[in-house]
Amino acid sequence: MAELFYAIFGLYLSGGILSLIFSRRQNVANALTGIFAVAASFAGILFALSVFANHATLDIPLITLFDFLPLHITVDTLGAFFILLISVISLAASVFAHDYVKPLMKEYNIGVLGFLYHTFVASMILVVSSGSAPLFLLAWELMSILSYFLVIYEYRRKDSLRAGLLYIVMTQISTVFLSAAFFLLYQATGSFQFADYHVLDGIPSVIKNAIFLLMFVGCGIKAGVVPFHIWLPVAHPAAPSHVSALMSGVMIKVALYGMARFMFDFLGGEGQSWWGVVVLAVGALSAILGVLYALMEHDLKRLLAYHSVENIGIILIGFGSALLFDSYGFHDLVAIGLVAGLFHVFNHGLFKSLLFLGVGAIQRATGVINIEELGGLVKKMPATAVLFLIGAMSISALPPFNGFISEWLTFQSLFANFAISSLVVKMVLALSVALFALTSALAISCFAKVFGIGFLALPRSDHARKAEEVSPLMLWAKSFLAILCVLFGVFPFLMFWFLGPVVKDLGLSFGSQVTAFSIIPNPATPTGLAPLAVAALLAAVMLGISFVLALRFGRHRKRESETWACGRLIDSRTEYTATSFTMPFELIFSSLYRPSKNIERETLGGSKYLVQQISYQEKIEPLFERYFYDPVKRLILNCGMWARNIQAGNINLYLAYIFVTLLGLLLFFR
Amino acid sequence: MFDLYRKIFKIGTVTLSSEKILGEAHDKDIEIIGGKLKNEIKRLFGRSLMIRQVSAGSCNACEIEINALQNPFYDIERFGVSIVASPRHADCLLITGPITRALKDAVLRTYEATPDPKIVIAAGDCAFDGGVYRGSYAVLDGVGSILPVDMYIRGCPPTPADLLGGILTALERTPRKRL
Repeated sequence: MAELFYAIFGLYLSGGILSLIFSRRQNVANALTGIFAVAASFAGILFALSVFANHATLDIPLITLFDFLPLHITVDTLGAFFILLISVISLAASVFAHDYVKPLMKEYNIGVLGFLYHTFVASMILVVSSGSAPLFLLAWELMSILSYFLVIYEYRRKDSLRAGLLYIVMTQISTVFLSAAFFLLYQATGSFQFADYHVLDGIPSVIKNAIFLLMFVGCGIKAGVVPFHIWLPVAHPAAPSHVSALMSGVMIKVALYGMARFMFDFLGGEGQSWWGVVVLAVGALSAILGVLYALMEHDLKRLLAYHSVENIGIILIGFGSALLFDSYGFHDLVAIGLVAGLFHVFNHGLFKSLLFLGVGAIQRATGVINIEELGGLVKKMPATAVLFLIGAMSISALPPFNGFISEWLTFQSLFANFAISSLVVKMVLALSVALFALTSALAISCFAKVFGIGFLALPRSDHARKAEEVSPLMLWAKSFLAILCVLFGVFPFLMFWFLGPVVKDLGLSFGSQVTAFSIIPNPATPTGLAPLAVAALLAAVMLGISFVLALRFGRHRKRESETWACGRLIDSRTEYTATSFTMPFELIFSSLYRPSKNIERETLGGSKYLVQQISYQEKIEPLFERYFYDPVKRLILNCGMWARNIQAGNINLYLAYIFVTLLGLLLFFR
Repeated sequence: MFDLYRKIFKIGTVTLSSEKILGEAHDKDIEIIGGKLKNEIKRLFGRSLMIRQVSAGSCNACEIEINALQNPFYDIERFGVSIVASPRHADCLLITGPITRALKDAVLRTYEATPDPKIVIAAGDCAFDGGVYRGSYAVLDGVGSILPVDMYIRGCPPTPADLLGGILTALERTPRKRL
């Protein structure tokens, strides 16, 4: 097993270095990147499966130069679960990348991209397999910096560098918080080993609260929860699509791994009751705000980035309800919330990377990713359209796809929480359930917009008119993810093979009854779901309808013709646009969006009837940037300006500073 | 008040009896044509004939006559013929006017939108060869220049009886197997 583990890193590192060596010959570098990444992904999948099969924990003490900074690798089932996710997604992304990056060859160095890609994936695996705080922070930093380089990889595009700057600042702040959390843990236990963090009995609750908050903010920034979400819609569009798929599908999940590790492993069983409330509230807020901003966004990558915020919120709702069970003594039910959250982690990884790869395919086929300029793609790229539809239906939580199962489980865990008698908790729960339900509904309308406007009807621009289906390799990569989406939607018990051991290893009792045909999350209340029956019912209804239609209309001759518009010309200007589709939502939620509109008419000779050109502009106000980040930015800049007064640049002054400091220290440590 | 009573008694009943009208207005023809039409529609369609009327630059005279087909006097609905609002519902296109250049595309789209099999009838002299507009740069001189026409109904404008007769002849010429 350890050999397989070394093989993963060996393959990733050698693949990265080889692609760097061959970077002069771009095609060779590209092929090497693909082959080694696929091999490494298979090794990762095999390794994760072997951890589950043997039900063993891998423990490797790496060389330690100093006693107090041990670098220790520990892979338990929770880590293996995330390694499985990372490897599955990186397998698809690597295959997709081979043809996707080809147009980049003219401008950028593919060898460097391969190197960064390989080391980035390896660093994510290192984060989830680290067993000591120094290694965790080291890997976390590596992951942040490598992904920063990937964000600014297309550095000739003017917005890339700005996006990268925002991203690196946010991610460094996250590391600061996490480091502080780990130092508090070290102070409390005297150890950097994760294994020593399980027993935190003697620690005062103030320290525990501080650790929880520092960890929650640190991981929350990386995961992109509201109000730290602002880097997601900026950084994801800047990176190449297969990297966005990895960042959105996997990297922000690594932050959730950190949360799960802290919440249920280190601090497990001794949570304060308000932790769950906080996590639940932040989760519900992230979910609703994420989807509301996604609805207003017509740039596909930014839209998907906001949906990541939404889905991270949904996962946090699961985690939050698990924490509530934990702190109120319902120890049998903790597993439901955790399982719901982790299931959604995996599902979101699958369908979000599927959607990002779909957007990458659209980008390659048309050159644009704004929905308003697309349209009619279902005729030009039918396979891409079907695969995108599967992703869209999964993320909208429609049966029989995987998103439905995990969101259903999340709802169940919330409903089970109403057993808690505290009034505050009940109010937060009721609000969360309502917001979560609204989120699901809005997510469906958002993807109705994406698919309806982007893929159906007539092409809206020449870019979309000239679109052609992408290469089979890209389609295979996406089909793999789409098949997994359907597989875990119809046979979710497969996922419980992994989730069962994970929760048991965290010391939780797993009471849900899961068979091949049904899931009963809480045996005390016999609410169950039969995913296979749901899928069978849907299939039967669809077959029945098509059978009746065939029987009724099958014998008529068919002829295709234009849509009848009373003899008028039908073209793309007649169509519904994404802006008009979202107008009702903009009106309903106008207090949040605060939209500002600007209509300009160019008329002939000032007559209001002879309009030559109309331009319509619409902006929604970025609330968080304006009322949270801008003041903070101003404050920091002002502090900097003030601090500049000290730095006069005069050497005598600096000598005086040193003298004063020396005096002060002598007085203090007398 | 007395004036009013005097007027009522002096003028008497002004509505006409149906015999009197039928006697005066060649309507035996309408009844006969209508009866035949009903049988033809039964033979071809089983129930009824749906007509979509298209005006392609007509002077509106033909439309007035077509409208008359629907008034209580002619009342073609009793023979199973109705004029519908969309070519998607129609079995038959009734086109009037010389086909102006501006309306050519609209007529073609209407033809395209009508489900097969369909009957195309061109009503009026203009629809036949351009009529009084013949040779103008703005018209295409008749429906025949852009569409296959099954039946021309001459007349400027054709009377309702002509129209009904034309529709009947068009149906009579249509073999059952074409539909």
